[in-house]
Amino acid sequence: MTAFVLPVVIGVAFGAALEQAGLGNARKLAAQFYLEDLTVFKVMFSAIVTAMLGLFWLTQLGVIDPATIAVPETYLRPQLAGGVVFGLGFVLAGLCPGTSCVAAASGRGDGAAVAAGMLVGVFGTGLAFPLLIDFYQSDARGVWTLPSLLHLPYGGVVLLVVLLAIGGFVGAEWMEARS
Amino acid sequence: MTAATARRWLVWVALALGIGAGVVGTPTRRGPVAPPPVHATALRGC
Repeated sequence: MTAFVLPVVIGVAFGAALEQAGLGNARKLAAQFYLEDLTVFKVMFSAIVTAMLGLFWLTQLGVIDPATIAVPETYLRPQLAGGVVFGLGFVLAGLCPGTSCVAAASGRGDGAAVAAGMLVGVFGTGLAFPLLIDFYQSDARGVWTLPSLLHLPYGGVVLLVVLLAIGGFVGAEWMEARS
Repeated sequence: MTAATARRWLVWVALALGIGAGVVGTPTRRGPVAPPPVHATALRGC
């Protein structure tokens, strides 16, 4: 039962946090691409740093068993293509999948339209999947992580990402103050 | 506590935890700290 209830509770909390951060507003998200409002960058980087530090320390303390953590494998070219499609959709709609659900839930028509478009896209991709499956499974690189790619110790990469985040926040505040 | 003060505190906490991770998670004479083993495929999204 917990396996069904917990994801719903986490999902609602995630949606509420996105709405609270103003990310249900397409204008705010689109302003990210013009470097006028870097809320998306700050919220997402904060989430990455929180999750990364939480995971590192909870693993160190023995609370989380690292063997239970799943990391997606890298299929380089298909994932790059997916990133381009995602980015184009994001710029066009001003919303990404999570924020479109948040916008729709808070009664915004554009959010509902984007969420509906996303579902149509998912359905269309499912129908066309036999044509796409060879590309989908191509260019497999196994599991890539920053420590293995950079040949750096795990803790060193954690510190590096924290420093990058803090530098990024300072830069973002400076850019926002300028615009 | 104002939002700005809370934010400043959070930055210091993140920095302290990050420096701690850099120290604890870096190989020493006792042996390297390995990153979590990785397996399986899962979907993620924003």
